[in-house]
Amino acid sequence: MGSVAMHDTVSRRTVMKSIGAAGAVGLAGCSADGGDGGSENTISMGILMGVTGGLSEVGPAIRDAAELAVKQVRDADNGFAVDTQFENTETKPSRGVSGAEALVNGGYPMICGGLASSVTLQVAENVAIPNQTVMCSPSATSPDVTSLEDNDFVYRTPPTDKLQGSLLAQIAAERLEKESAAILFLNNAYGNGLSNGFTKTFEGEYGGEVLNQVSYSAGRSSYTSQLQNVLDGDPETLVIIGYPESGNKIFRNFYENFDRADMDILVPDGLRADDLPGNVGHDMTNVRGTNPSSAGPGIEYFRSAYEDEYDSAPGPFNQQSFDAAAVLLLARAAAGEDAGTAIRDQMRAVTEPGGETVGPENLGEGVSLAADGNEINYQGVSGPVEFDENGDLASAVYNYFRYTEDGTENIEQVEV
Amino acid sequence: MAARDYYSRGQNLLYNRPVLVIFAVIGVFLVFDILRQLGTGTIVVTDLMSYLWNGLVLGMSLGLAGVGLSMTYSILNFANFAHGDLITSGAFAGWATAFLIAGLGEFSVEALVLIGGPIAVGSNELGINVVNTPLALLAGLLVAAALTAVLSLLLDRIVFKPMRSADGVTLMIASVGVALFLRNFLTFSFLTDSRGLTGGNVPQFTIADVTFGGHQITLVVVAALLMLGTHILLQYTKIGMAMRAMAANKDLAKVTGIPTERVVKLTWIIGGGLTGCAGFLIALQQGTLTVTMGWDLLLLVFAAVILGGVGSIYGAMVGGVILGIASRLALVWIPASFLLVAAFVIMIVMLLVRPSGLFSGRTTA
Repeated sequence: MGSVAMHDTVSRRTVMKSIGAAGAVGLAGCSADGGDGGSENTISMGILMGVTGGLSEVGPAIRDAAELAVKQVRDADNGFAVDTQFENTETKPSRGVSGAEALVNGGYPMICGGLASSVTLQVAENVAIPNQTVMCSPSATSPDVTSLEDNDFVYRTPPTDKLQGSLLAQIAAERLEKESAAILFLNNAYGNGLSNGFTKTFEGEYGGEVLNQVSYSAGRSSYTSQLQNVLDGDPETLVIIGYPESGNKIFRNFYENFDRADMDILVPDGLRADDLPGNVGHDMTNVRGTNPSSAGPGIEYFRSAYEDEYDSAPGPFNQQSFDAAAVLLLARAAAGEDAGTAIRDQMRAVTEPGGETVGPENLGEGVSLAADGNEINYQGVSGPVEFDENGDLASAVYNYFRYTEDGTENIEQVEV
Repeated sequence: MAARDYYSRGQNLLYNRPVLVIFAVIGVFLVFDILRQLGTGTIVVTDLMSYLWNGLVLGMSLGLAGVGLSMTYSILNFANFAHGDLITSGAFAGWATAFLIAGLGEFSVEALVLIGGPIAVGSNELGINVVNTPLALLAGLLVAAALTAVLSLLLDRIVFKPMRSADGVTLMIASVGVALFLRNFLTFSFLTDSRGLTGGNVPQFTIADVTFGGHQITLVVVAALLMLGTHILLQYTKIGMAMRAMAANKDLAKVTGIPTERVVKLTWIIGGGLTGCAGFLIALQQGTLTVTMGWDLLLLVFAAVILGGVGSIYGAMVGGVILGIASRLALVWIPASFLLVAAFVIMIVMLLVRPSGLFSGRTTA
């Protein structure tokens, strides 16, 4: 699948690079290889994603979605060629950094990726920012990405977890009318970010009280003790942050060992899984939650294009991945050259309101419009992608959902 | 050992092993602190009882899982890192059987053999628990034992037998390879989803506000019976004697005419069988199953085995129970997020005061 989409220039470039490496010492022209290939009508984009390791389940599909955007531009008869190089981060920061270095050395001025927040942060700080390379992550949701000293080189298409943390707090306080809460969170960047976001809003804005914050690690044999700790002092609501892998066990322990099956529980997107009630073996109607809605203007077209290409339905963060690649491609076309700083300066221009509306269905045409100097307003698959001063989404729409007896259903959409 | 031996040893202790005495004093202090907290009402008796019970459950699973590891260590002299994934393999084999028996006719065979996986089989609709479907569980337990034993033999034949004369480190590295192979094979067949196993109204008993889950009790009872069986086998049968002889001195055992290669085979069969049972029971008690279950548990199992004395089968059982109870009892002082710290502190203390473990020098006996 992915390899089919691989372009000739990739292998040529790889050959040239290995020749360059073998020919060794001080071939000053080495880095200019990329420049030669990067003529005005060839867009160079690195794709840096983890398709093995921690994200092996979702990574490959996210990569496919980005490649779909590339394919749209290649297939359009607009005189533009797109040269991509893929590097696998194995969902490890160290591999991510070396992969990004390979891309920068290969002359790629922009990178679509990385996926995990931990990898994205390391790559941004160590490679992208110092080398003036534009990065746009389709799935890094940690609040830490916001505060990077990035000279505007780092962007992302999913909303930050901080928004979701405060949205959960708002739901707990306003809709469920709770005054005390407790949080059981997975001990990683995702869990910490959401937990702190919730606490800050719940205590600061709504005057509520967070009684306990208990962290847990994945893969433990039982979570009864952690639940005992977190339920200490009878909080009115419980926030559980994590993924189905441990969530399955946590909810089992909760329903089996605590006589509180009617307690209101809130969960973030990580724990929205339709097969969870079946796996837990208990009706989970006391559980509600939020997840970023990834249904923008171009969603219908994207779905059918994706299914035509890959014979499967798009998975999590696939919409954001298409958008990340599309925005980068448009910005590069508008910039007119393979230069990080020039592309950076176009990132907001191609997404802000005003000008020609471009979506997934006319992305190829959009690229040539942008190259001709027209104003572009990209309307994405995941939403009307628009960046704030930190490179985060300016606004995001979330689903407020609840668990039913055998799955989940949306209650309403909330814009934050 | 006679009582006066202990007495004279106690006397020497104070002079020769001050570190041990210091840790003993700390231990006594902690016991008094529990009593004090009970007196002042900081913790209540029910909490303490549930810590002890949950600790015992964890301990018995670690103990049972550790026996097989300790056996291979004492007879074959290497740390088998594939042990964790043998646990998982046993659990998958057993649960596929249990699902098949409990759900045949209701769901497709494919969905049942894959234990749900991508094709959702609601654990509630299947309703597997010890009261509803005892036969399915019994069959699952037997298949788990049998298949893990066969798998162990097969791995021994392919990987470990050709390396019989290699040293422990080489074998250990080979076992890491086997572990990776097994886990990836399981991932390939069953995917990485976390699946729910038990369902329906899982029976539980509440005595004085302490909840005893039906599957927890099942695990503790079956594990205790299996341990007792292993004890009888080792102490009162000819093959058990041969195993002990071989653990004590391989060359001498060979010279005396013990068919060492057959003993090795039996070790794998018995160790593998117990490991498979452990996997099946742990999954039953957890109610969920993932391909990393055994690997996640392996560090604790190793800790239990080291605590008990590497190579000692009774050590593995006792070490597991001590570790389990200590890690849960630690809740009296530390938050639940750091539970494992207590378990490993105990292990470190043990290594400091008695580096060869509780049952050192008593390999397999």
